[in-house]
Amino acid sequence: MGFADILAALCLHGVHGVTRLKASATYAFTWLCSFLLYVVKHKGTKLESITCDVKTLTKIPLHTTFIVQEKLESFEDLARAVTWTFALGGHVVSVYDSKGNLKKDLARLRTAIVLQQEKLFGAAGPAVQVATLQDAEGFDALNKTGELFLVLVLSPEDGRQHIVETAVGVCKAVLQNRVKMEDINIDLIDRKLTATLTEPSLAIVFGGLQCSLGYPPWHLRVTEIHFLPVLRKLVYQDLYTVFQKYASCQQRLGT
Amino acid sequence: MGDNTSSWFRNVCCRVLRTGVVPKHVAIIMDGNRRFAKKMHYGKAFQGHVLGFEKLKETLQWCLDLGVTEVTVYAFSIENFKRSKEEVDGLMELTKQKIAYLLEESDVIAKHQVRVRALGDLRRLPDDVLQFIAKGVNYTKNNARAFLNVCYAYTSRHEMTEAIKEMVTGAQDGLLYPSDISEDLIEQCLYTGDSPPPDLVVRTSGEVRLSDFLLWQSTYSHLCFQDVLWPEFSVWHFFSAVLSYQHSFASIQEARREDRERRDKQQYESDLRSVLDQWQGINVPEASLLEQMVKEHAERRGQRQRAFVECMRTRRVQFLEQLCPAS
Repeated sequence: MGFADILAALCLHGVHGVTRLKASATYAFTWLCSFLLYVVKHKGTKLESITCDVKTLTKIPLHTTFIVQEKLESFEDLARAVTWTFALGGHVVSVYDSKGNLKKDLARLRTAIVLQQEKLFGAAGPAVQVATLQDAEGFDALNKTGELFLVLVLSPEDGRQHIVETAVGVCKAVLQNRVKMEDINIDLIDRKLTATLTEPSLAIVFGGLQCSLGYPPWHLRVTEIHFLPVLRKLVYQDLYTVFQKYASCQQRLGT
Repeated sequence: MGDNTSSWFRNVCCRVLRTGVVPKHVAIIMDGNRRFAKKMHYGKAFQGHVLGFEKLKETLQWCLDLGVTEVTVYAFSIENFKRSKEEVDGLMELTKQKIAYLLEESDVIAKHQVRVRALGDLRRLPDDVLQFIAKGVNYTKNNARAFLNVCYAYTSRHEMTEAIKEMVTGAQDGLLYPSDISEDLIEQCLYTGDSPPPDLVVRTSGEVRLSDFLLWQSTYSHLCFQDVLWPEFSVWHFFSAVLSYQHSFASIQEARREDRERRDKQQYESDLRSVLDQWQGINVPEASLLEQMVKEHAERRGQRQRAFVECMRTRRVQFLEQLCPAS
């Protein structure tokens, strides 16, 4: 590498660094404004305010998924995000933890979510079930009644490995003549993979990395994917903005 | 003079980017052709697709100049067959024209020794288009320096389902056991079985979804959604995507490493279960014997999987070769 290359490298990375710094400064300023507006407008996020916001949304995702990259010391921020999502009209929230730590601490997560639910909805609010995919089998997966909020906790074992297990099951069924070869199609595989975990309409990836990190791939077919910074920086306005973008998106489905 | 300065600056930026990590495999959802045609008041969406193809040629050159050795593009989805007959016929005709161009005039393909592959349920295509595709693929089959994978009549769910059907057929034919099915084997059975997973996935037009494209393969890819219509995609948009990939590289590599560890552990546990299922004795074998049995089982499994994959790949290659008359 010559001197000119080094100088150009420094300039380009410097320009990009300044651009990122400017973006960070803009983000920080926007965050500060959002925070001040949030304090002034909401004085703490109340259910009545969120209910007003719901009326501005032309469509709401039935199932939202959060993809979490960082190791969480406290579950309070995640529990708040889940509760806000329910208040915005969602019925199912799945939380995918790329390191699998949430499943190991399910009871603590459940406690944190129930606490936030009670803070926002009051003691008489809808019940919330927090479960792994295996424990949730048999639940009303689509939660059509809306009387129950469902939180599904996922890890990498629920991703590609689940497709492997489904393939092994189908293979054995064919060898045992319980299923015909010609019956293996997308609908059959889809029924098996989405029996408990439905396709999320909206995915929010927290933590800065623009990557799904092993999230069940079959389920991301037409999911709207948004990226937000780490959970501890999340304010309600960020989540509401994503919901607004979701409401304005158009899905042409290839046509 | 303006063009020379701009070209010089672009070359400098390219050289600077090459000092960092360059994605080896870039996948692109080339979205926005029809909206571009509407924006420019062309009257017909087809003109947008023509310009979209020109943009693909340009982008391929940028990729090769940067050192990207594999590019996968989403050219035509199975869902696109639902479009109007006029548009679908137009796209099929455009495909034939561009393959003819590829066979006769493309200096990019020849200079960079690019091998073109067609990935998808090609049997859905009209015979005349399929013959052109077969010619294009066979024409470049001996190139090996770079790869252009064109996903045609493709959706990812269809691809995964076909991979499962291949493995089930393999089990029916006695080439595989059900317990041989694994993440690694599924990957080899996908249409992209010869390719590494994409490092960077770019989608243009501002849409923020994958739309049934490389869902399995992109689980550890850097996703870059850009708010620009495909025919307006510039080298600066491309460089920006690469820069953002470079900033995420270390973290994604770490995540991939953890995933590899999980898969290896999963595979070991599967092999152990298979050995214990077959064990006839009353007591579990002692540790060192068990380890040896697991190792031998893994070797036999590997041999079955390799033989099965070889057979499947040969069949897929022969499917296109037989469509080309001997020259």
